[in-house]
Amino acid sequence: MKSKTFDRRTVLRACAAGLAFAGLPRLASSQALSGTVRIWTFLGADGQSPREVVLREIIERFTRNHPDVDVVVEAQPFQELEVKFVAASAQNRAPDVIWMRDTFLGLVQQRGALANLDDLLSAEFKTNVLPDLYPVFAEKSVFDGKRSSLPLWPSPAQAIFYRKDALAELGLEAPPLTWDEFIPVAGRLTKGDRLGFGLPTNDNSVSAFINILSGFGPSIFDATTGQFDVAGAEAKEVGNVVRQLVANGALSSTLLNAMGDDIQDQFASGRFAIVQAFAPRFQQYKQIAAAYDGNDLAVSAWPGFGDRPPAVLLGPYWTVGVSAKSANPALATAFVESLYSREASMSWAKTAGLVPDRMSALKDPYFGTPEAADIHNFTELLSAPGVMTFPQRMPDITKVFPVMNTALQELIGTDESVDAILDRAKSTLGW
Amino acid sequence: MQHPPLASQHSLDVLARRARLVGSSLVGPALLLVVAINILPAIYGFYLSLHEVFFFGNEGFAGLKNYTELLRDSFAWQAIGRSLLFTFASLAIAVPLALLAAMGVRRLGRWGSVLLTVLLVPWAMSPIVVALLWKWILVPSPGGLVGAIFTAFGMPPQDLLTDPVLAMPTLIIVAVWRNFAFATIILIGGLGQIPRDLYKAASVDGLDAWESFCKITLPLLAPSLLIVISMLTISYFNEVQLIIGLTGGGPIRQTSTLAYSLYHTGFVELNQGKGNAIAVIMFLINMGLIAVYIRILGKQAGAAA
Amino acid sequence: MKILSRTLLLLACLLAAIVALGPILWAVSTSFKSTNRIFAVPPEIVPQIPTTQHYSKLAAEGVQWAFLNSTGYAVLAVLIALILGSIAGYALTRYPVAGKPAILLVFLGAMAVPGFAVLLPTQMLATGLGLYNTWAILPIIYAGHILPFAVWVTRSHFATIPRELEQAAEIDGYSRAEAVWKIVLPGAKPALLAAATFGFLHCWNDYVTGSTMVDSPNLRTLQVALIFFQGFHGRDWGALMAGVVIATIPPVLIFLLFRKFLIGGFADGSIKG
Repeated sequence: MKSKTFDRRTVLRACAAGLAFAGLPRLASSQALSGTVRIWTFLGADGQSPREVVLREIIERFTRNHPDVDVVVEAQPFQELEVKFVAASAQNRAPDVIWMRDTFLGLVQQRGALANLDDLLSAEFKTNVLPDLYPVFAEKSVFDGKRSSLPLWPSPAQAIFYRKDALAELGLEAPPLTWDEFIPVAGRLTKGDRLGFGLPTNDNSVSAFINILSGFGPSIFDATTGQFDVAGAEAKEVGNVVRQLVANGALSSTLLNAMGDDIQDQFASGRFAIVQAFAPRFQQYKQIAAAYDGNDLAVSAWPGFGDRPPAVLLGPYWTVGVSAKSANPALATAFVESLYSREASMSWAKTAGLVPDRMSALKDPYFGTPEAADIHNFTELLSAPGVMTFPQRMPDITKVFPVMNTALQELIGTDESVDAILDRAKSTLGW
Repeated sequence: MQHPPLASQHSLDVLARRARLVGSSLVGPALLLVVAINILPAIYGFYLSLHEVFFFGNEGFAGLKNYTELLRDSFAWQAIGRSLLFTFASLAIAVPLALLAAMGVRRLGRWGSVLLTVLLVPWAMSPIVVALLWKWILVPSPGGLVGAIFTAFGMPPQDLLTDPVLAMPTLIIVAVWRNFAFATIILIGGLGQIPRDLYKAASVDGLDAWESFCKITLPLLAPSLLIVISMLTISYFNEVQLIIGLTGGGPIRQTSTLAYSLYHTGFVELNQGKGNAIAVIMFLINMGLIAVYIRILGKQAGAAA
Repeated sequence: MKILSRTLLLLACLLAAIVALGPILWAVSTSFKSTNRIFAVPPEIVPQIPTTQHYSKLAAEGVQWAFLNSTGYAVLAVLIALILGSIAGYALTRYPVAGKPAILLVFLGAMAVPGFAVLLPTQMLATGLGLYNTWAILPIIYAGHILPFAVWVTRSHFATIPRELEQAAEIDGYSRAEAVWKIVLPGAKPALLAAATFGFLHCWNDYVTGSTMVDSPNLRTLQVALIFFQGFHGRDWGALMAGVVIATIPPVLIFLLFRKFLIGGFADGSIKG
């Protein structure tokens, strides 16, 4: 039997990006870790989903290496994490580690609820792991030079899912990637009870309006205010696209306030050929497919406008931080670091079908196998030219999605002029 | 109680004071709990409604700004309009239905109580569970329960929750489904208090069933009907879980009632100052409704005595 | 003619029963279908290949503990509310109490506070008292919710029991407390049980308070635990409907047990608000 110390060292060394000695100074201190880490995430401690299985694995590995440490997972409903965390922080009962959506990062950070990770992350993590994370995500967590969180599971948020069998009816392999071509195709895909295109327009944290707008590229967001021009020429063009999709029957004017979950259910029962979907649910979509073969499911970027590249709006995505009020920030940070070990990256990929956080992990032969084909498609989206995120400090983040969704419902369901609808949205936001 | 025959004024005072002390200390614990759980937080809520509070950060005293903004906001008035529509349309369906059920249950005798039990099952369920259940039943697909019924009649499945015309009526039907049977119980009680002789006399006088319903049942049932109406009014006016679960206030704000606006403003937009202002307005409206309710009860008790 | 109207009545009742129970039976049916059959077209009214996988999933994720929590919270809250409520209700009918009209107004006003409005302040108060995220917080809050109703019901009931009955017992050598226990309370049984049923349903069916006063999964209520099946991966309809079935059993059971008192209580007019 290997001795406990030896075991611990080898594992930790592996964690340190495969570079054996860089980690040594850190090893000495990490052996002393003891206490309890409380984690708030949407993953359950006893959950059965692949991500939950992997999280359990990571925790087991962490507590094996730190026998005096207790890791407590307290799952919270995923839409409530940020709100619960800020309330808990104000009342001095926050957990040590928090999972949250990047769109709320600016607000949570402004409330002083997150610890500055620059002071906490180990030297080897900074040298070996940080540069290995996707910069587009990692840099968004840096506020005024201070790193307040680490992104987890690189992935586009709202992607286009489509049925290859439906597209094949038109002799196509995938939906066209410019709106000019997409619109007629989506119209022709409407057949019988099936609609060409399905958009969720009632979620409070995403809006298809902004996803369509992202076809104009990152310049839609003002660099200083973080706002987009709600009633500008580009927004009006989005309005026209929506109106054309309604006119040619691709969008239904009686399907106005579906949530992402509703679209998902109805896609399973064959109602749509193409939908806006929450990209991390790809495997789930496959599983519940009832009216078509799950293997016909595929993912695409959003069409672009004119000759712009297809758009990929990365967000909201998950990001992990340490509470500013944690009693044991060193321990909390050590646990957070363990989420990004190479083994962890491989487990997230192999068990849960997620793009690995460590870019270097993609060199693993596993990603060349047919099993990893879905992951491969997602990594391609991440390196597409039209990739962008939400601005770091997007104003009125709790209002902008519901307001734009109501505008979208009005565009789809009424005859009111595009200008009037967008002007009202603009004044509701007060932008 | 046996008083000492020659009690002095002083000892009577002592007795009265002692009785008062005992009485107050018996009410004390209940009062304390109710104040701590309901009243103190409500007062704090009122305090917050006078401040600008966003995402748990108090940005300072705002006076009546939250209230004046609401008064000037056309969406807030629309929300009040929709609350009225939702409340009164639900009432208009629930009360006749409850009356019909109450008369049916009484006529059926033993089987009637079985029927009543069956009808009351939805009332025992939680609103959030009811919302989940109906979301599932109404899935607009031939694979959903209601969708399959449409398909059986040769119609495509309908978007009952996402169509701007159909969403509100659908919501109303679900709300009525959940709790109309509760009103039935009270109406059965009311019907039981109408003397049977009156109906016999009516049939001797040659009144048909409809005439005796209009001339005897309705007037004598009026007190129970008023109780039912005021209780259901309060319940429908405050309904929010069903709306959150089924329509999320949409489509195009068609189901954004005042209660839903409270939730949306305070818990989605996280504008907790304004959210509490809506809560204060709702509290005042509720107090008004309860006052009417108590007045009706008082009258009824007076009439019975 | 008479037979025709009787048949019509029975048909109408049958229809009513189907409308009331149909949705719940559909939930039962869905909860026994395997995941890939749930969206099948045409729908299977009775699952062709029944499975208990969704119930096993609930058990694997510890939903049974949430079920026990909810039961415990509800029972404790009802006990607290009935004991404090009947004592207060008795005192309010039999004793002079300082500021009685104000107290009655407080109990009334408490019923008018919209539930959502007090969540944030209650949370702060609970944290301040060190009760946040403990097993005691939900029973206490629930008891506070149902107390006004319990006081109201018992008070109006005690008012109908003549004071002379107690006095007769006291003459027979019982203490006042004994007289209340032996004479007044048994008479108030229907009212107390009706209040208990209402109280239980309120606690059991609550979602918002349960979701804002405890964070630990092992203190969670059933309604909150079920929301996790409508989570990050979308809705798991099989598990959700299994949850709906489980969440519906206790309130329906309680209701069936105490139905007589509940219906009787309203029917004879002994409960008025």
